[in-house]
Amino acid sequence: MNEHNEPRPEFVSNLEWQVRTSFHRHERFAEPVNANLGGKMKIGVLVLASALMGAGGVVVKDGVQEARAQEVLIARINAEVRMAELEAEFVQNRLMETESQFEAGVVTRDALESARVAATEAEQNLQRLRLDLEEVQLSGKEPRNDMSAPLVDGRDFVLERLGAEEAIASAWVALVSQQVDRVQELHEVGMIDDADLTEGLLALDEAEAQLESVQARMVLRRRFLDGALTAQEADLALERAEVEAEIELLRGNLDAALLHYQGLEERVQIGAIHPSELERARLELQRLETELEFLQIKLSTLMGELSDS
Amino acid sequence: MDESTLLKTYNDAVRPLYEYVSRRCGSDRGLAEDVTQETWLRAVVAWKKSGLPDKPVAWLKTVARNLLLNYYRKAPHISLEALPADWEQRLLGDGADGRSPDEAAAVAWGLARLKPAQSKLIEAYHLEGMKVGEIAAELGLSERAVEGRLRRARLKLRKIMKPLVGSSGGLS
Repeated sequence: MNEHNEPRPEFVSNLEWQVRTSFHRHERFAEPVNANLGGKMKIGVLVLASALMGAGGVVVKDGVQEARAQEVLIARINAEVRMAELEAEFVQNRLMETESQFEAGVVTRDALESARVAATEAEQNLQRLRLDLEEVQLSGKEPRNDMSAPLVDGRDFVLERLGAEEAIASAWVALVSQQVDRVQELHEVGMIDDADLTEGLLALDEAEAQLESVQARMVLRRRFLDGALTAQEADLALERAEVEAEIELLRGNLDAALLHYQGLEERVQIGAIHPSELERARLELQRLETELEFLQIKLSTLMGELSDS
Repeated sequence: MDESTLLKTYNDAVRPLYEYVSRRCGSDRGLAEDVTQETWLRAVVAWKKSGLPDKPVAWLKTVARNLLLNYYRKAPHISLEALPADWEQRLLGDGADGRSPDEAAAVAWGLARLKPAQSKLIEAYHLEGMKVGEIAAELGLSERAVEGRLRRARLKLRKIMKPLVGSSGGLS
């Protein structure tokens, strides 16, 4: 090891003292153990007992209500499927029109790509709702999308729905990527400024983050089904992946806000704008930084829970 | 967690943590000590609340890494004049240990602007020396997927550094 990377002995001993002091400080001011726990437990037992005594009388009534709730649930999803079918048909017709217009040179390639993504989105939404309907018909319960949801009649509806989401996310990445390529070309020849380029790159980051988030969920789901993760670990890992994705997006926004702030700084210096605009941008920057710090603390806590579980 | 467990963990982990931080900030002693200290103080609070994690060193390194990223992200005007033409080799090759604080700051500045998943990948492969297969197993991905992600991460890092390195940067 490079000797410059070794800590000084006095630093190690001083930090040990700080760690020890901090440990005692938290010990001294820790929340007291609840002395009334026994009393609360007794009340809990009484509540539970009375609930159980009343339960027998309502079992039959609950069964009827449950069957009715299932009927309502199936009817609701059926209606959603019909709406989605109409939407998919409409969007498909629009796509065919746009294709003809593009061939005739009336619309741009971007418009055509957007119409294709809209058609994919509508088709995948329809597919997702049909999966929901199948799951409800088989299980009699609301569709479950959590990582630890059980298989229903041998089928993995969670992964099937994620597959549909992945297709949409991939289509978005491809579309935004093409748009960013064009934006970069325009930026290189000076047709657009840094802010437009940053906005394009942010949109690409968002699309990629969305795709990666779906793929991460697919990996987690497979690992749960393989038995490599418990239900608690799978749910915690999902939460962690979501917080990490939020952090990624926030970092992109922070970069854009910083760039905006620096641009305003220059304009204030030459008197082109009022300083209050700079102040507003500074506040926005601080808000984003605070939000980022909060998410990082949340991530550290989740990591602690993950390693404990 | 009792005091003796904490102190044993401290004695086992303080040097690996310091070395990790110091290597990432180009042996900048002041910064390495500040980050190591802050990491331990956060650890005491978190571990008192939720107990000692299974892998304390990994926990500490992650927190330290985030603190370093925050530090470098808040330094938007770092001078990159000192960055040599072979910066990529110095970051990604065997010379990473001998980087100056300025070079380390410049590289950390770039890494802090990558997506966390991308910077973690570059650090794991180039700085920690993990094999593609090991990373793939940890992330639950195929080796091909990891290689693709590494390639994209390096490309993005190059893009980020490009305007800052200048004509002598040797980047195309």
